[in-house]
Amino acid sequence: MKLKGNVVFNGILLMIFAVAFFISLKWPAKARMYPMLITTAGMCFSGFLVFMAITGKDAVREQKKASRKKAAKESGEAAKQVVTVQSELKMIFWLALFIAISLVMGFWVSMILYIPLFMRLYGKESWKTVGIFTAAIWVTIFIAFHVVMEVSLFGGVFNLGWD
Amino acid sequence: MLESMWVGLQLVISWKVMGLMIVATFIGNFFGAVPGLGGNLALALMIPFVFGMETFPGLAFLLAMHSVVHTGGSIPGILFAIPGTGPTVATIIDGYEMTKKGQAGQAMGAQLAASAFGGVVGALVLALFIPILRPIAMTFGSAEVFMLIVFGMTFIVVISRESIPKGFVAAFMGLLLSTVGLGAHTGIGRYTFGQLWLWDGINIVTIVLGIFAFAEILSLGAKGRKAKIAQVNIEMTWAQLWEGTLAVFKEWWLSVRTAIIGCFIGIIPGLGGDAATWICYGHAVQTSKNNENFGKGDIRGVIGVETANNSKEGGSLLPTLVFGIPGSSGMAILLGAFLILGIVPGPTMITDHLDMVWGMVWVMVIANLIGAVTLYPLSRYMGMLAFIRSSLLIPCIMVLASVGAYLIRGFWQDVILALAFGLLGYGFKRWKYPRAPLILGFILGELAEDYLHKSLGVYGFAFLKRPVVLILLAMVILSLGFTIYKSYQDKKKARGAVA
Repeated sequence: MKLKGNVVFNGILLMIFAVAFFISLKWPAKARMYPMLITTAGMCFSGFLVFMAITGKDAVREQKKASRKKAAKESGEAAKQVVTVQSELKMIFWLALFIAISLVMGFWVSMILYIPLFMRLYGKESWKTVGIFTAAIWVTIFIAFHVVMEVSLFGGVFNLGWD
Repeated sequence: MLESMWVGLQLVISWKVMGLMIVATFIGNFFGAVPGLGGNLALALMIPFVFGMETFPGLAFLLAMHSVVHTGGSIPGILFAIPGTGPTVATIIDGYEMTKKGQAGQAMGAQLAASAFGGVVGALVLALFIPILRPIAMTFGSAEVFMLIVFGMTFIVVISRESIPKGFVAAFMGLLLSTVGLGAHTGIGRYTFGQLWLWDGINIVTIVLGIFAFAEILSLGAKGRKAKIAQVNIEMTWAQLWEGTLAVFKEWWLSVRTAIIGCFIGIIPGLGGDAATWICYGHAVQTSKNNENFGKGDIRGVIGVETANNSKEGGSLLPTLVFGIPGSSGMAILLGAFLILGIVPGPTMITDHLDMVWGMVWVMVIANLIGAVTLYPLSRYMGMLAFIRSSLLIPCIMVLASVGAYLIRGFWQDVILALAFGLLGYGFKRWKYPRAPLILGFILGELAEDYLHKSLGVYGFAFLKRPVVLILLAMVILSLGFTIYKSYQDKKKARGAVA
């Protein structure tokens, strides 16, 4: 059986509330009262949504969505912008990659490494555009944060930057 | 009162604040004109830039930017039928039709003048309400404020009309996040997992950057890179722009009415910009003579929508400032920024910081005028922003959002946290969870717990018997009941339509 995305997402939310509820049980009454109220209510609503998603009770909305999609496809516009699980995972990878490079090499170096990589591989931009854009972003960040605001950005594990 | 008004004006009229406001209006217009970006993202990305600033200049910068987002947002809508922001969709109906008829200049002129006019009226209504609300706000104690917060939370339901349970889940997630850190009344570390950096809780900016900025990056990127800049030729002369501008004053009674309606809709937390623009468009159609041209390029359609679009911001600032209850998701983010800048919204704003409130009124007036005036020569080119490729936008947003997440507190862990919120925000977007309730829940959550403990400490459970509390409780029940009933009716209609 293929697991639906909304079931998984609703399930994750239900799990977050449930874990938070059990964690709060260890605290004194005054500290746990408010979180327990929230998590209990959160579990009720997310549990309801999981139930709805599993049983397919939100079929009306799905039907409406399907008819909208059909109309969009007919206009020929949406076909170019179809979101697939693969494209979503690819984008999550790109985002995580930037954060990972930033945490290791710091923001200054990661901008130089990542932006050309992203623009060439994802955007298929020309080297000229890549060069101009990378330089423009780097210089803007440098002027705004280092020169004007005088704040130091994270230098990564190797502390590559200015203090 | 007059003295505070004068002091407020003096706060605004300085080279530094005026310069910042000019920059802010350009940024606001830019974020408005690029579809998919919008005001919330602009605020999220720009909050880190105000860290080192003094309180008022920082405030003026953010407020000016937020005030003009919809002015820029209507440009691609009128020129290419691509709405820059959600509430500007209604402008397309007549605005784009006018462009097709070769009247883009008139539509643009009317849009810019109506936006400025609406923004100024919104700020004036805000100013008008200050003396009225002052005595009311002063009678509110901790119990009344707590119930008012609960009342504010019921608007979560209004925001989430499409799916009330999803709205509640988002709101409870926000409330849960607000409990992270050392409890103010107990000193117990909650959900800190032994991590020192979580003792102060999670910063609103980290959440906003994740939920909006990172989620938008994922959403934009997953759609693939967009087409190249379209080759469009839009004829627009100064005479046409002037003609459109004059139309706003010729239709002055419609402009005043829709601006006031928009402002009042803005005051009601959660109703949002879409409601304001559509209601005002409907009002313009219903109340205008010879209304057969609406939908076919009637300039009154543009005027009605645009005045409401900007005036509602003045209205939504009112509950945000006076009661600490954000009137919209943008105001919820702005509320977080206020706290960062050392301003604590609430009844004390109009008792102790009235000059600052007047300063904000002036900022809204001046920003709306600057925003519109600067767009007259630039509007044609601003429209092209709608066609910026995602492969160029994503790196800019990604860098700014990551740097912003780090700079809030100087913890690298916040960058990872923002990424996690980005995934959550994308999930919300993907499966149609409203994101605004999460922000509203987060902001009101800490306040609610604080005032609940205070009320229990002072009155015990007897605080529920206080007269104002009882009135507010009745309003909570009525508001919830009415919205749930309305939603049930809408669903019934939808089922009927599908069948």
